[in-house]
Amino acid sequence: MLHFSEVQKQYGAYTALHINSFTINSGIVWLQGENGSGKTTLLKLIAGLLPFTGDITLNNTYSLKRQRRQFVQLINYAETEPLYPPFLTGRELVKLYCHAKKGSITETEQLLQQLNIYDAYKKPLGTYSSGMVKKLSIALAFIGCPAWILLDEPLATVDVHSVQTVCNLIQSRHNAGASFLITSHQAFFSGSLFFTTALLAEGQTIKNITV
Amino acid sequence: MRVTLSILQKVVINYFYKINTGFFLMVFFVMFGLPQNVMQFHHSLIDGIIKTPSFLLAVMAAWLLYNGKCMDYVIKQLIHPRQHFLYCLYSLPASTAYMYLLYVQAMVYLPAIIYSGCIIVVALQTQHITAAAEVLLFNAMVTCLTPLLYMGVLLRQPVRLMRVPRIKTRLPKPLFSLPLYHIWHNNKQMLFVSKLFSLFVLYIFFKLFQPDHPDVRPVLLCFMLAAAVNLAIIFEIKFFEDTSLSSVRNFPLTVVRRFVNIQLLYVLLLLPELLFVWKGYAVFFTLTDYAQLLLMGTALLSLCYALLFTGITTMDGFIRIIFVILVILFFIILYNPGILLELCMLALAFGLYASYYYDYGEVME
Repeated sequence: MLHFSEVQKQYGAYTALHINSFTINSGIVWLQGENGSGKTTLLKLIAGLLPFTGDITLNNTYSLKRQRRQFVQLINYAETEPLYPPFLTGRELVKLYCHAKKGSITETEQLLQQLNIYDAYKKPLGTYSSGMVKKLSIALAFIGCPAWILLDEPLATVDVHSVQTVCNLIQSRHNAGASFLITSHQAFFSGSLFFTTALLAEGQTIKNITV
Repeated sequence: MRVTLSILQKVVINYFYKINTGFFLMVFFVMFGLPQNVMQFHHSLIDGIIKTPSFLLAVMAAWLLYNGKCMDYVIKQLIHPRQHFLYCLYSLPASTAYMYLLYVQAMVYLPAIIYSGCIIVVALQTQHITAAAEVLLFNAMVTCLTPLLYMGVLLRQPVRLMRVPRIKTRLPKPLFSLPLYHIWHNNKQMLFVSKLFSLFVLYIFFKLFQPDHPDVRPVLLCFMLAAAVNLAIIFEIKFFEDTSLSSVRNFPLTVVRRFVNIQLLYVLLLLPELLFVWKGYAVFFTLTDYAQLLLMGTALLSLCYALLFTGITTMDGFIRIIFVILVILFFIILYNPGILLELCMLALAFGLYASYYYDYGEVME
Protein backbone atom coordinates (compact mmCIF):
# COMPACT_ATOMS: atom_id res chain seq x y z
CA MET A 1 0.00 0.00 0.00
CA LEU A 2 1.25 3.45 -0.92
CA HIS A 3 -0.11 6.43 0.95
CA PHE A 4 0.30 10.02 -0.24
CA SER A 5 -0.06 12.86 2.20
CA GLU A 6 0.06 16.50 1.10
CA VAL A 7 2.17 15.59 -1.91
CA GLN A 8 2.87 18.53 -4.15
CA LYS A 9 5.21 18.76 -7.11
CA GLN A 10 5.98 22.07 -8.77
CA TYR A 11 7.95 22.73 -11.95
CA GLY A 12 8.80 26.37 -11.37
CA ALA A 13 5.45 28.14 -10.97
CA TYR A 14 3.52 25.25 -12.54
CA THR A 15 1.90 22.74 -10.20
CA ALA A 16 2.15 19.33 -11.83
CA LEU A 17 0.65 17.32 -8.97
CA HIS A 18 -1.19 18.13 -5.77
CA ILE A 19 -2.48 15.12 -3.85
CA ASN A 20 -3.91 15.92 -0.41
CA SER A 21 -4.46 12.38 0.81
CA PHE A 22 -4.69 9.25 -1.28
CA THR A 23 -3.96 5.56 -0.90
CA ILE A 24 -3.07 3.10 -3.63
CA ASN A 25 -3.80 -0.43 -2.51
CA SER A 26 -1.57 -3.34 -3.44
CA GLY A 27 -2.32 -5.14 -6.68
CA ILE A 28 -1.85 -4.45 -10.37
CA VAL A 29 -2.81 -0.85 -10.81
CA TRP A 30 -3.37 0.79 -14.17
CA LEU A 31 -2.69 4.52 -14.09
CA GLN A 32 -4.40 6.26 -16.98
CA GLY A 33 -4.47 9.88 -18.08
CA GLU A 34 -3.84 12.24 -20.92
CA ASN A 35 -0.40 13.47 -21.96
CA GLY A 36 0.87 15.95 -19.41
CA SER A 37 -1.55 14.79 -16.69
CA GLY A 38 1.33 13.92 -14.33
CA LYS A 39 1.56 10.12 -14.68
CA THR A 40 5.31 9.99 -15.19
CA THR A 41 5.86 12.64 -12.53
CA LEU A 42 3.88 10.53 -10.05
CA LEU A 43 5.96 7.44 -10.80
CA LYS A 44 9.19 9.42 -10.49
CA LEU A 45 8.07 10.82 -7.13
CA ILE A 46 7.41 7.32 -5.80
CA ALA A 47 10.78 6.10 -7.13
CA GLY A 48 12.51 8.95 -5.30
CA LEU A 49 13.83 10.53 -8.49
CA LEU A 50 12.24 13.95 -8.07
CA PRO A 51 12.07 16.34 -5.12
CA PHE A 52 8.60 17.22 -3.80
CA THR A 53 6.83 18.47 -0.71
CA GLY A 54 4.72 16.17 1.45
CA ASP A 55 5.44 12.50 1.99
CA ILE A 56 4.74 9.03 0.63
CA THR A 57 4.64 6.02 2.95
CA LEU A 58 4.92 2.36 2.04
CA ASN A 59 2.75 -0.17 3.92
CA ASN A 60 2.48 2.34 6.80
CA THR A 61 6.07 1.40 7.62
CA TYR A 62 8.56 3.31 5.56
CA SER A 63 8.42 6.99 4.75
CA LEU A 64 10.19 8.19 1.62
CA LYS A 65 11.33 11.31 3.44
CA ARG A 66 12.42 9.68 6.70
CA GLN A 67 13.50 6.15 5.75
CA ARG A 68 14.55 6.80 2.19
CA ARG A 69 17.02 3.92 1.81
CA GLN A 70 14.56 1.29 3.07
CA PHE A 71 11.79 2.82 0.98
CA VAL A 72 13.63 2.82 -2.37
CA GLN A 73 14.98 -0.67 -1.67
CA LEU A 74 11.38 -1.84 -2.09
CA ILE A 75 10.52 0.30 -5.13
CA ASN A 76 11.77 -0.48 -8.63
CA TYR A 77 11.12 1.72 -11.61
CA ALA A 78 11.35 1.40 -15.40
CA GLU A 79 11.25 4.67 -17.33
CA THR A 80 9.35 5.36 -20.54
CA GLU A 81 12.47 6.17 -22.49
CA PRO A 82 15.33 4.72 -20.46
CA LEU A 83 18.78 6.17 -21.00
CA TYR A 84 21.85 4.24 -19.91
CA PRO A 85 25.58 4.82 -20.42
CA PRO A 86 26.21 3.48 -23.94
CA PHE A 87 29.66 2.13 -23.06
CA LEU A 88 28.28 -0.33 -20.50
CA THR A 89 27.29 -3.82 -21.60
CA GLY A 90 23.93 -5.29 -20.62
CA ARG A 91 25.74 -7.66 -18.31
CA GLU A 92 27.57 -4.85 -16.51
CA LEU A 93 24.33 -2.95 -15.98
CA VAL A 94 22.59 -6.08 -14.67
CA LYS A 95 25.49 -6.68 -12.25
CA LEU A 96 25.29 -3.05 -11.07
CA TYR A 97 21.54 -3.27 -10.43
CA CYS A 98 21.78 -6.71 -8.81
CA HIS A 99 24.46 -5.36 -6.47
CA ALA A 100 22.40 -2.29 -5.55
CA LYS A 101 19.01 -4.01 -5.33
CA LYS A 102 20.34 -7.28 -3.88
CA GLY A 103 19.02 -9.33 -6.76
CA SER A 104 20.00 -12.54 -8.50
CA ILE A 105 22.01 -12.28 -11.74
CA THR A 106 20.88 -15.74 -12.84
CA GLU A 107 17.20 -14.86 -12.47
CA THR A 108 17.71 -11.64 -14.42
CA GLU A 109 19.50 -13.54 -17.19
CA GLN A 110 16.50 -15.86 -17.41
CA LEU A 111 14.25 -12.83 -17.75
CA LEU A 112 16.40 -11.49 -20.57
CA GLN A 113 16.16 -14.86 -22.31
CA GLN A 114 12.37 -14.73 -22.06
CA LEU A 115 12.42 -11.23 -23.52
CA ASN A 116 14.69 -12.40 -26.37
CA ILE A 117 17.56 -10.00 -25.70
CA TYR A 118 20.01 -12.36 -24.05
CA ASP A 119 22.05 -12.61 -27.28
CA ALA A 120 23.00 -8.95 -26.85
CA TYR A 121 23.74 -9.38 -23.14
CA LYS A 122 27.50 -8.91 -23.50
CA LYS A 123 27.29 -6.11 -26.06
CA PRO A 124 27.55 -2.38 -25.25
CA LEU A 125 24.18 -0.70 -24.74
CA GLY A 126 25.09 1.78 -27.47
CA THR A 127 24.47 -1.02 -29.98
CA TYR A 128 20.95 -1.79 -28.63
CA SER A 129 17.80 -0.66 -30.41
CA SER A 130 15.29 1.43 -28.43
CA GLY A 131 13.07 -1.65 -28.04
CA MET A 132 15.95 -3.69 -26.65
CA VAL A 133 16.83 -0.94 -24.15
CA LYS A 134 13.17 -0.85 -23.13
CA LYS A 135 13.10 -4.61 -22.55
CA LEU A 136 16.32 -4.39 -20.55
CA SER A 137 14.83 -1.64 -18.38
CA ILE A 138 11.80 -3.86 -17.69
CA ALA A 139 14.09 -6.73 -16.69
CA LEU A 140 16.06 -4.38 -14.40
CA ALA A 141 12.81 -3.33 -12.72
CA PHE A 142 12.22 -6.96 -11.71
CA ILE A 143 15.57 -7.28 -9.90
CA GLY A 144 15.54 -7.99 -6.16
CA CYS A 145 12.45 -8.25 -4.00
CA PRO A 146 10.54 -5.00 -4.62
CA ALA A 147 7.17 -4.46 -3.00
CA TRP A 148 6.16 -2.22 -5.90
CA ILE A 149 7.32 -2.21 -9.50
CA LEU A 150 6.56 0.98 -11.38
CA LEU A 151 6.38 0.58 -15.14
CA ASP A 152 6.03 3.69 -17.27
CA GLU A 153 4.58 2.74 -20.68
CA PRO A 154 6.08 -0.78 -20.58
CA LEU A 155 4.67 -1.71 -23.96
CA ALA A 156 5.96 1.33 -25.84
CA THR A 157 8.50 0.27 -28.53
CA VAL A 158 8.23 -3.39 -27.43
CA ASP A 159 7.55 -5.82 -30.30
CA VAL A 160 4.20 -7.62 -30.56
CA HIS A 161 5.66 -11.00 -29.62
CA SER A 162 7.07 -9.67 -26.36
CA VAL A 163 3.83 -8.00 -25.20
CA GLN A 164 2.44 -11.35 -24.06
CA THR A 165 5.74 -12.17 -22.33
CA VAL A 166 5.71 -8.85 -20.43
CA CYS A 167 2.09 -9.44 -19.35
CA ASN A 168 2.92 -12.95 -18.17
CA LEU A 169 5.91 -11.68 -16.22
CA ILE A 170 3.80 -9.02 -14.51
CA GLN A 171 1.07 -11.48 -13.59
CA SER A 172 3.43 -14.14 -12.29
CA ARG A 173 5.42 -11.62 -10.26
CA HIS A 174 2.20 -10.28 -8.83
CA ASN A 175 1.19 -13.81 -7.86
CA ALA A 176 4.52 -13.96 -6.00
CA GLY A 177 3.58 -10.89 -3.96
CA ALA A 178 4.76 -7.81 -5.85
CA SER A 179 2.45 -4.93 -6.71
CA PHE A 180 2.55 -2.98 -9.95
CA LEU A 181 1.74 0.58 -10.88
CA ILE A 182 1.60 0.74 -14.66
CA THR A 183 0.97 3.65 -16.99
CA SER A 184 -0.10 2.83 -20.50
CA HIS A 185 -1.98 4.53 -23.28
CA GLN A 186 -2.59 1.12 -24.80
CA ALA A 187 -5.17 -1.23 -23.33
CA PHE A 188 -3.69 -4.50 -22.13
CA PHE A 189 -5.52 -7.06 -24.24
CA SER A 190 -3.69 -9.97 -22.74
CA GLY A 191 -5.97 -12.50 -21.15
CA SER A 192 -3.30 -13.37 -18.63
CA LEU A 193 -3.14 -9.93 -16.97
CA PHE A 194 -5.85 -8.74 -14.59
CA PHE A 195 -5.81 -5.20 -13.24
CA THR A 196 -7.08 -4.91 -9.71
CA THR A 197 -7.43 -1.13 -9.72
CA ALA A 198 -7.56 1.67 -12.25
CA LEU A 199 -6.54 5.23 -11.50
CA LEU A 200 -6.95 8.38 -13.50
CA ALA A 201 -4.47 11.22 -13.38
CA GLU A 202 -6.44 14.38 -14.01
CA GLY A 203 -6.58 17.95 -12.75
CA GLN A 204 -3.22 17.69 -10.97
CA THR A 205 -4.36 14.80 -8.81
CA ILE A 206 -5.30 11.12 -9.05
CA LYS A 207 -8.58 9.35 -8.43
CA ASN A 208 -10.00 5.84 -8.57
CA ILE A 209 -12.04 4.84 -11.60
CA THR A 210 -13.81 1.64 -12.59
CA VAL A 211 -11.62 -0.88 -14.43
CA MET B 1 30.39 37.27 -48.40
CA ARG B 2 29.89 39.41 -45.31
CA VAL B 3 26.61 37.67 -44.54
CA THR B 4 28.25 34.24 -44.67
CA LEU B 5 31.12 35.34 -42.44
CA SER B 6 28.68 36.91 -40.02
CA ILE B 7 26.65 33.69 -39.82
CA LEU B 8 29.79 31.60 -39.29
CA GLN B 9 30.91 34.06 -36.63
CA LYS B 10 27.60 33.77 -34.79
CA VAL B 11 26.86 30.05 -35.03
CA VAL B 12 30.36 28.58 -34.87
CA ILE B 13 33.00 30.99 -33.55
CA ASN B 14 31.16 32.94 -30.85
CA TYR B 15 29.64 29.78 -29.44
CA PHE B 16 33.11 28.21 -29.21
CA TYR B 17 34.33 30.99 -26.93
CA LYS B 18 31.08 30.95 -24.99
CA ILE B 19 31.22 27.28 -24.07
CA ASN B 20 34.96 27.47 -23.37
CA THR B 21 34.79 30.59 -21.19
CA GLY B 22 35.95 28.61 -18.18
CA PHE B 23 38.91 27.11 -19.99
CA PHE B 24 40.11 30.48 -21.32
CA LEU B 25 39.55 32.23 -17.99
CA MET B 26 41.64 29.61 -16.26
CA VAL B 27 44.44 29.81 -18.87
CA PHE B 28 44.39 33.62 -18.68
CA PHE B 29 44.54 33.54 -14.87
CA VAL B 30 47.50 31.15 -14.86
CA MET B 31 49.41 32.94 -17.62
CA PHE B 32 48.68 36.56 -16.72
CA GLY B 33 47.12 36.72 -13.26
CA LEU B 34 49.43 34.51 -11.26
CA PRO B 35 52.99 35.68 -12.18
CA GLN B 36 54.11 38.68 -10.12
CA ASN B 37 55.92 40.24 -13.07
CA VAL B 38 53.92 39.27 -16.15
CA MET B 39 56.33 40.68 -18.73
CA GLN B 40 59.36 39.06 -17.12
CA PHE B 41 57.53 35.73 -16.78
CA HIS B 42 56.55 35.62 -20.44
CA HIS B 43 59.95 36.82 -21.58
CA SER B 44 61.58 33.94 -19.65
CA LEU B 45 58.99 31.52 -20.99
CA ILE B 46 59.48 32.59 -24.61
CA ASP B 47 63.25 32.64 -24.10
CA GLY B 48 63.04 29.03 -22.92
CA ILE B 49 60.87 28.06 -25.90
CA ILE B 50 63.18 29.50 -28.55
CA LYS B 51 66.41 28.30 -26.93
CA THR B 52 65.38 24.79 -25.89
CA PRO B 53 64.25 22.48 -28.73
CA SER B 54 62.57 20.00 -26.34
CA PHE B 55 60.58 22.83 -24.75
CA LEU B 56 59.57 24.08 -28.21
CA LEU B 57 58.43 20.56 -29.09
CA ALA B 58 56.35 20.42 -25.90
CA VAL B 59 54.72 23.76 -26.76
CA MET B 60 53.99 22.53 -30.31
CA ALA B 61 52.38 19.43 -28.80
CA ALA B 62 50.22 21.70 -26.65
CA TRP B 63 49.21 23.73 -29.73
CA LEU B 64 48.37 20.52 -31.56
CA LEU B 65 46.23 19.41 -28.68
CA TYR B 66 44.46 22.75 -28.60
CA ASN B 67 43.92 22.43 -32.34
CA GLY B 68 42.45 18.99 -31.68
CA LYS B 69 39.97 20.64 -29.36
CA CYS B 70 39.15 23.24 -32.05
CA MET B 71 38.75 20.57 -34.73
CA ASP B 72 36.55 18.45 -32.53
CA TYR B 73 34.31 21.42 -31.86
CA VAL B 74 34.08 22.69 -35.46
CA ILE B 75 33.43 19.22 -36.89
CA LYS B 76 30.74 18.53 -34.29
CA GLN B 77 29.14 21.85 -35.24
CA LEU B 78 29.30 21.12 -38.96
CA ILE B 79 27.61 17.73 -38.57
CA HIS B 80 25.11 18.85 -35.94
CA PRO B 81 21.53 18.64 -37.28
CA ARG B 82 20.95 22.25 -36.19
CA GLN B 83 23.79 23.38 -38.49
CA HIS B 84 22.78 21.33 -41.54
CA PHE B 85 22.15 24.52 -43.47
CA LEU B 86 25.93 25.01 -43.58
CA TYR B 87 26.15 22.25 -46.18
CA CYS B 88 25.16 24.93 -48.65
CA LEU B 89 28.75 26.17 -48.34
CA TYR B 90 29.88 23.27 -50.45
CA SER B 91 27.83 24.45 -53.38
CA LEU B 92 30.22 27.41 -53.53
CA PRO B 93 33.47 27.21 -55.51
CA ALA B 94 35.96 25.11 -53.55
CA SER B 95 38.36 28.00 -53.07
CA THR B 96 35.61 30.24 -51.62
CA ALA B 97 34.36 27.51 -49.29
CA TYR B 98 37.97 26.89 -48.20
CA MET B 99 38.44 30.60 -47.42
CA TYR B 100 35.33 30.62 -45.24
CA LEU B 101 36.52 27.58 -43.33
CA LEU B 102 40.01 29.07 -43.07
CA TYR B 103 38.41 32.08 -41.39
CA VAL B 104 36.63 29.78 -38.91
CA GLN B 105 39.86 27.90 -38.17
CA ALA B 106 41.88 31.13 -37.75
CA MET B 107 39.30 32.54 -35.36
CA VAL B 108 39.07 29.50 -33.08
CA TYR B 109 42.86 28.96 -33.21
CA LEU B 110 43.44 32.69 -32.57
CA PRO B 111 44.91 32.44 -29.03
CA ALA B 112 47.67 30.14 -30.33
CA ILE B 113 48.27 32.41 -33.34
CA ILE B 114 48.66 35.49 -31.12
CA TYR B 115 51.08 33.81 -28.71
CA SER B 116 53.08 32.28 -31.55
CA GLY B 117 53.26 35.78 -33.08
CA CYS B 118 54.86 37.05 -29.86
CA ILE B 119 57.33 34.16 -29.91
CA ILE B 120 58.28 34.93 -33.51
CA VAL B 121 58.85 38.63 -32.73
CA VAL B 122 61.07 37.82 -29.73
CA ALA B 123 62.93 35.13 -31.72
CA LEU B 124 63.64 37.56 -34.57
CA GLN B 125 64.83 40.25 -32.12
CA THR B 126 67.22 37.80 -30.48
CA GLN B 127 68.46 36.42 -33.85
CA HIS B 128 66.90 32.96 -33.35
CA ILE B 129 65.82 32.77 -36.97
CA THR B 130 65.44 28.97 -37.08
CA ALA B 131 63.13 28.91 -34.05
CA ALA B 132 61.08 31.77 -35.53
CA ALA B 133 60.78 29.89 -38.85
CA GLU B 134 59.80 26.67 -37.09
CA VAL B 135 57.04 28.38 -35.08
CA LEU B 136 55.78 30.24 -38.16
CA LEU B 137 55.78 27.16 -40.38
CA PHE B 138 54.16 24.96 -37.77
CA ASN B 139 51.28 27.31 -37.06
CA ALA B 140 50.80 28.19 -40.74
CA MET B 141 50.47 24.48 -41.51
CA VAL B 142 48.05 23.91 -38.66
CA THR B 143 45.92 26.89 -39.69
CA CYS B 144 45.91 26.18 -43.43
CA LEU B 145 45.64 22.38 -43.47
CA THR B 146 42.91 21.96 -40.87
CA PRO B 147 40.19 23.61 -43.03
CA LEU B 148 40.80 20.85 -45.62
CA LEU B 149 39.52 18.43 -42.99
CA TYR B 150 36.42 20.57 -42.53
CA MET B 151 35.88 20.46 -46.31
CA GLY B 152 35.82 16.66 -46.02
CA VAL B 153 33.18 16.93 -43.32
CA LEU B 154 31.05 19.14 -45.54
CA LEU B 155 31.35 16.44 -48.20
CA ARG B 156 29.96 14.08 -45.55
CA GLN B 157 33.06 11.92 -45.51
CA PRO B 158 33.52 10.18 -42.17
CA VAL B 159 36.28 11.76 -40.10
CA ARG B 160 37.83 10.30 -36.96
CA LEU B 161 39.92 12.84 -35.10
CA MET B 162 41.48 10.81 -32.40
CA ARG B 163 41.75 7.08 -32.43
CA VAL B 164 42.24 6.52 -28.75
CA PRO B 165 42.04 2.78 -28.14
CA ARG B 166 38.82 1.59 -26.55
CA ILE B 167 39.18 -0.23 -23.28
CA LYS B 168 38.22 -3.75 -24.29
CA THR B 169 39.67 -5.48 -21.27
CA ARG B 170 37.25 -6.66 -18.66
CA LEU B 171 38.06 -3.87 -16.24
CA PRO B 172 35.61 -3.67 -13.38
CA LYS B 173 33.19 -0.76 -13.64
CA PRO B 174 32.08 0.07 -10.11
CA LEU B 175 29.37 2.70 -9.80
CA PHE B 176 31.75 5.49 -8.76
CA SER B 177 33.92 5.02 -11.86
CA LEU B 178 31.15 5.26 -14.48
CA PRO B 179 31.46 9.05 -15.02
CA LEU B 180 35.16 8.61 -15.76
CA TYR B 181 34.41 5.88 -18.30
CA HIS B 182 31.91 8.27 -19.87
CA ILE B 183 34.58 11.00 -20.17
CA TRP B 184 37.03 8.47 -21.61
CA HIS B 185 34.55 7.29 -24.24
CA ASN B 186 32.82 10.53 -25.19
CA ASN B 187 35.05 13.46 -24.18
CA LYS B 188 38.60 12.30 -24.86
CA GLN B 189 39.70 15.71 -26.12
CA MET B 190 38.40 17.39 -22.97
CA LEU B 191 40.21 14.82 -20.82
CA PHE B 192 43.52 15.10 -22.67
CA VAL B 193 43.49 18.90 -22.88
CA SER B 194 42.62 19.22 -19.18
CA LYS B 195 45.26 16.74 -18.10
CA LEU B 196 47.95 18.19 -20.36
CA PHE B 197 47.23 21.70 -19.17
CA SER B 198 47.13 20.80 -15.47
CA LEU B 199 50.40 18.86 -15.79
CA PHE B 200 51.87 21.78 -17.74
CA VAL B 201 50.98 24.11 -14.84
CA LEU B 202 52.76 21.79 -12.40
CA TYR B 203 55.74 21.35 -14.74
CA ILE B 204 56.22 25.10 -15.14
CA PHE B 205 55.95 25.54 -11.39
CA PHE B 206 58.63 22.95 -10.63
CA LYS B 207 60.82 24.37 -13.41
CA LEU B 208 60.65 28.03 -12.42
CA PHE B 209 60.23 27.96 -8.63
CA GLN B 210 63.21 26.98 -6.50
CA PRO B 211 62.41 27.13 -2.75
CA ASP B 212 65.01 27.49 0.00
CA HIS B 213 63.18 25.03 2.23
CA PRO B 214 60.06 22.84 1.87
CA ASP B 215 56.95 25.02 2.15
CA VAL B 216 53.64 23.49 1.16
CA ARG B 217 51.88 26.79 0.39
CA PRO B 218 53.27 27.54 -3.10
CA VAL B 219 52.83 23.95 -4.27
CA LEU B 220 49.38 23.88 -2.65
CA LEU B 221 48.35 26.96 -4.64
CA CYS B 222 49.72 25.45 -7.80
CA PHE B 223 48.03 22.10 -7.14
CA MET B 224 44.76 23.91 -6.43
CA LEU B 225 44.97 25.51 -9.89
CA ALA B 226 45.91 22.20 -11.51
CA ALA B 227 42.87 20.59 -9.89
CA ALA B 228 40.68 23.52 -10.95
CA VAL B 229 41.64 22.87 -14.59
CA ASN B 230 39.40 19.79 -14.31
CA LEU B 231 36.28 21.89 -13.73
CA ALA B 232 34.91 21.33 -17.23
CA ILE B 233 35.12 17.59 -16.53
CA ILE B 234 33.18 18.05 -13.28
CA PHE B 235 30.45 19.90 -15.19
CA GLU B 236 30.33 17.13 -17.79
CA ILE B 237 30.18 14.48 -15.05
CA LYS B 238 27.17 16.19 -13.52
CA PHE B 239 25.46 16.39 -16.90
CA PHE B 240 26.14 12.69 -17.49
CA GLU B 241 24.72 11.77 -14.09
CA ASP B 242 21.59 13.83 -14.75
CA THR B 243 20.96 12.23 -18.12
CA SER B 244 22.29 8.67 -18.09
CA LEU B 245 22.52 7.81 -14.40
CA SER B 246 19.31 9.40 -13.16
CA SER B 247 18.00 6.03 -11.93
CA VAL B 248 20.90 5.79 -9.45
CA ARG B 249 18.83 7.97 -7.13
CA ASN B 250 16.52 4.99 -6.83
CA PHE B 251 19.40 2.86 -5.49
CA PRO B 252 19.24 2.25 -1.74
CA LEU B 253 22.48 4.08 -0.91
CA THR B 254 23.00 6.47 1.97
CA VAL B 255 24.19 10.02 1.30
CA VAL B 256 27.46 9.22 3.07
CA ARG B 257 28.06 6.27 0.76
CA ARG B 258 27.29 8.42 -2.26
CA PHE B 259 29.75 11.06 -1.03
CA VAL B 260 32.44 8.43 -0.50
CA ASN B 261 31.89 7.35 -4.12
CA ILE B 262 32.50 10.97 -5.19
CA GLN B 263 35.79 11.01 -3.27
CA LEU B 264 36.92 7.79 -4.93
CA LEU B 265 36.03 9.21 -8.35
CA TYR B 266 38.03 12.39 -7.78
CA VAL B 267 41.08 10.55 -6.46
CA LEU B 268 40.96 8.54 -9.70
CA LEU B 269 40.47 11.68 -11.79
CA LEU B 270 43.39 13.47 -10.13
CA LEU B 271 45.72 10.46 -10.24
CA PRO B 272 47.97 11.90 -13.02
CA GLU B 273 48.42 15.18 -11.10
CA LEU B 274 48.98 13.32 -7.80
CA LEU B 275 51.66 11.13 -9.36
CA PHE B 276 53.32 14.05 -11.14
CA VAL B 277 53.41 16.29 -8.07
CA TRP B 278 55.32 13.58 -6.20
CA LYS B 279 58.34 14.74 -8.16
CA GLY B 280 58.49 17.75 -5.83
CA TYR B 281 58.70 15.60 -2.67
CA ALA B 282 61.44 16.66 -0.19
CA VAL B 283 62.30 19.84 -2.12
CA PHE B 284 58.86 21.43 -2.17
CA PHE B 285 56.92 19.56 0.53
CA THR B 286 57.16 16.86 3.17
CA LEU B 287 55.36 13.52 3.34
CA THR B 288 52.57 14.84 5.60
CA ASP B 289 52.05 17.75 3.19
CA TYR B 290 51.31 15.22 0.44
CA ALA B 291 48.14 14.17 2.27
CA GLN B 292 47.17 17.83 2.37
CA LEU B 293 47.66 18.12 -1.40
CA LEU B 294 45.50 15.06 -1.99
CA LEU B 295 42.79 16.46 0.27
CA MET B 296 42.97 19.88 -1.41
CA GLY B 297 42.35 18.29 -4.82
CA THR B 298 39.42 16.11 -3.79
CA ALA B 299 37.91 18.72 -1.46
CA LEU B 300 38.02 21.44 -4.13
CA LEU B 301 36.45 19.22 -6.78
CA SER B 302 33.84 17.93 -4.31
CA LEU B 303 32.94 21.48 -3.37
CA CYS B 304 32.61 22.47 -7.04
CA TYR B 305 30.49 19.39 -7.71
CA ALA B 306 28.26 20.03 -4.67
CA LEU B 307 27.70 23.61 -5.85
CA LEU B 308 26.12 22.23 -9.03
CA PHE B 309 23.23 20.94 -6.89
CA THR B 310 22.41 24.40 -5.59
CA GLY B 311 20.76 25.68 -8.75
CA ILE B 312 23.74 26.52 -10.97
CA THR B 313 22.82 25.19 -14.38
CA THR B 314 25.14 27.01 -16.78
CA MET B 315 28.88 26.83 -17.28
CA ASP B 316 29.16 30.63 -17.10
CA GLY B 317 27.56 30.79 -13.65
CA PHE B 318 29.64 27.84 -12.50
CA ILE B 319 32.93 29.41 -13.59
CA ARG B 320 32.10 32.75 -11.99
CA ILE B 321 31.45 31.24 -8.56
CA ILE B 322 34.49 28.95 -8.76
CA PHE B 323 36.67 31.91 -9.68
CA VAL B 324 35.54 33.72 -6.53
CA ILE B 325 36.22 30.60 -4.43
CA LEU B 326 39.72 30.24 -5.89
CA VAL B 327 40.54 33.86 -5.08
CA ILE B 328 39.31 33.41 -1.49
CA LEU B 329 41.29 30.16 -1.13
CA PHE B 330 44.37 31.91 -2.51
CA PHE B 331 44.39 34.37 0.38
CA ILE B 332 43.50 31.77 3.02
CA ILE B 333 46.36 29.51 1.92
CA LEU B 334 48.84 32.39 2.28
CA TYR B 335 48.01 32.42 6.02
CA ASN B 336 48.94 28.72 6.19
CA PRO B 337 45.89 27.27 7.96
CA GLY B 338 47.20 23.72 7.47
CA ILE B 339 45.00 20.72 6.82
CA LEU B 340 42.12 22.44 8.62
CA LEU B 341 41.30 24.33 5.42
CA GLU B 342 40.86 21.14 3.38
CA LEU B 343 38.80 19.51 6.13
CA CYS B 344 36.52 22.56 6.28
CA MET B 345 36.15 22.51 2.47
CA LEU B 346 35.27 18.81 2.59
CA ALA B 347 32.76 19.38 5.38
CA LEU B 348 31.19 22.25 3.45
CA ALA B 349 31.02 20.10 0.30
CA PHE B 350 29.33 17.28 2.23
CA GLY B 351 26.92 19.72 3.90
CA LEU B 352 25.87 21.16 0.55
CA TYR B 353 25.64 17.74 -1.09
CA ALA B 354 23.60 16.19 1.74
CA SER B 355 21.26 19.19 1.86
CA TYR B 356 20.63 19.52 -1.85
CA TYR B 357 21.03 16.03 -3.37
CA TYR B 358 17.44 14.87 -2.97
CA ASP B 359 16.00 18.35 -3.53
CA TYR B 360 17.79 18.79 -6.80
CA GLY B 361 15.57 18.73 -9.87
CA GLU B 362 17.16 21.23 -12.26
CA VAL B 363 18.13 20.54 -15.82
CA MET B 364 21.66 21.48 -16.77
CA GLU B 365 22.39 23.32 -20.00
